[in-house]
Amino acid sequence: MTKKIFPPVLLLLAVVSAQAQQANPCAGAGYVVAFFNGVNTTFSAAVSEDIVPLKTIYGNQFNNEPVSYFTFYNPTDGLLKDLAEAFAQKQQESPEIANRWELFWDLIDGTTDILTLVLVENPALADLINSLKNAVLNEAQVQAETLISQANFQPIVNQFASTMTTFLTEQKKIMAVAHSQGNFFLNSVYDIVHPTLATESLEVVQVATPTTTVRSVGGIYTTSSTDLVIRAISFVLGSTEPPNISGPIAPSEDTLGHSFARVYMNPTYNMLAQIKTDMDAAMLALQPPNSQGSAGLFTVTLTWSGTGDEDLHVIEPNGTHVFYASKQGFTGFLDVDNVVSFGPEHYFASCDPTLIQDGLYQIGINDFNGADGETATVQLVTAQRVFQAVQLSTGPTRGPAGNTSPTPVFNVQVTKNADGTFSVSKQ
Amino acid sequence: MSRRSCYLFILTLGSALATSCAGGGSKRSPSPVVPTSIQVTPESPTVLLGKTQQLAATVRFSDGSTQTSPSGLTWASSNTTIATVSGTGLVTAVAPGSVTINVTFSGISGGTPAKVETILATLDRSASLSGPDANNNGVRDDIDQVIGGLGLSPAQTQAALQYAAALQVAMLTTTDSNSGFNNAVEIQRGQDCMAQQMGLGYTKYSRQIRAFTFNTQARVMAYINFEHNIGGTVFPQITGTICK
Repeated sequence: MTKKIFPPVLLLLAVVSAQAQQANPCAGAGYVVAFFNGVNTTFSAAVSEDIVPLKTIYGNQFNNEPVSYFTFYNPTDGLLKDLAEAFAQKQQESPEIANRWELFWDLIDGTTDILTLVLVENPALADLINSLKNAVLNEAQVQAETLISQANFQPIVNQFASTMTTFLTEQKKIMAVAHSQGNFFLNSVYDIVHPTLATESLEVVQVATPTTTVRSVGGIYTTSSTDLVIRAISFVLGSTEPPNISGPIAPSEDTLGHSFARVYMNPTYNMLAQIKTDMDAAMLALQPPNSQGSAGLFTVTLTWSGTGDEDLHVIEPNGTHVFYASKQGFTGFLDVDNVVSFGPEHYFASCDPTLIQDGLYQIGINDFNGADGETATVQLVTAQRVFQAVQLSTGPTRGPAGNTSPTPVFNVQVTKNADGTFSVSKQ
Repeated sequence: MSRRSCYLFILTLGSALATSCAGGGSKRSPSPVVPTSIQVTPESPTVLLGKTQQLAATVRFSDGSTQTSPSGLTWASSNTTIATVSGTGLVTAVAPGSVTINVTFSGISGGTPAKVETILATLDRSASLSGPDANNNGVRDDIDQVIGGLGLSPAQTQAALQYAAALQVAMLTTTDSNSGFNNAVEIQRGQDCMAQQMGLGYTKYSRQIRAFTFNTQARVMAYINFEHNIGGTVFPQITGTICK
């Protein structure tokens, strides 16, 4: 069986040059393309295979501004674990596939790559594997039904929202593209972040959505009537957005007709044109965020869950204390200070090697006024890594008295490498 | 030997032996050089399904000389539904099973048994998560073999090995979100390297490598544990060196 791959060499060159260019942590504001992965995927697919078609379209530059790509990786281990159990059970009934765990991956991908290799030994396996495809659909149904009530759903939404807020604070415009299960996360993240924005600096494009509503302008989305995963999910959820385009039936790239890269974004099929139209419109509609934040070697962003004035404090390695009353540090600067509600407050460390101090940066917070009993979220970001945000209580109001003893949140270690570059870690 | 019979002999064995009759006439000639045995190498090869294997035949003559793959060899397979063989001894594996590859030369014959196996039959399925790695390159030896059989260029092979090693590390060493993140970045780097070396068709190979690496229940579950530790993380694109 020949696989359809994205054809032109020119597209490939665009991808390669995108990869070759190193991210400059202090590059101008620009665009972020944020991808929210689907349900029956794995990290390998989401972070690479699914990002490639997006990179192929938008490359390094859009409107003469840099474009960077992020995968907002929502967990898929629940589905994988359930499918592994179903596969193990099937093995007990069918000794032909005993220990043939490589076939498990055909189920995840909806392909027959591995099966094809095995069929020559045992043609009867085709029926076994086909019967397991129903298991994929069943587990996708279970996931969709329980996802929002799962214990880790809201913490992940909060993490994603914190990351988006950081990008927006650093004047980046965001186009978020969600596929499948990713739409549940994107809707919830959008509902947190979008109301805080003064300009249309966050646009969404929704693909294969199992949700009841979408957040895109005009309620547009792309769901194929031949996507068996979404069809199965809407059967149990009842009120999902209906399919609005007819895609390929059981394509060899993914016989469930569901994969983002291999089906929806495949130039062979008709969905790509519609999705690209929606993405182009979203990119063109994006407005600069109303923010003064800068990117940096590292940045720290503080948000909180209500009204009041929570303050971000940074004590740099040489003892310089950076906070609202003394915004200019030796290395960094407090470039966003919020005294009303929600935040953000934002500190960035300069990218100028003559200003960067190696050593420990102590990050703390203080409830200056009226943010009592709320939740503070503190996010550390570098060009290489979006760290897990730390959540803690905002604490009782301490006024200026708290300025000298902010509540410690974490430390940032900056190390100068032999080649003159700097590494940043969280402690 | 009469001149007439000498001509017949030349017709049979070809011009290489014509010098033995050069004297001609009724004078008695030395004994003719004739082939005595034929040996096929490599002996008993195992050919992976869809792959080819070049065989050679060495003919030994009555004067003790040998000739490797002389012209005039005839190759045949005992079962062409399992393996075929070309006129030059190139065996093509068609389906799993056992066959005999025969070769004849001037009335004598030889042969070797050959086996066709799928790549799956050669996979390590031991209880150990890591499996054998005799060459200590961070990739299971059977996965080395799988990658070696993909028909890739040296740079592409190196990229595939980089990805395979990253998968192996992620399976073996992920204990929390921090190790999960670091391991995930190396998987990402390996895939980006494959894309750089192979173009967009790389996923065909990366999917095979993943499936064959995580080919036992224990390995699949260990990989799922890695996935468990990175769920909810935001991943930027790779910076720095892509191909190690």
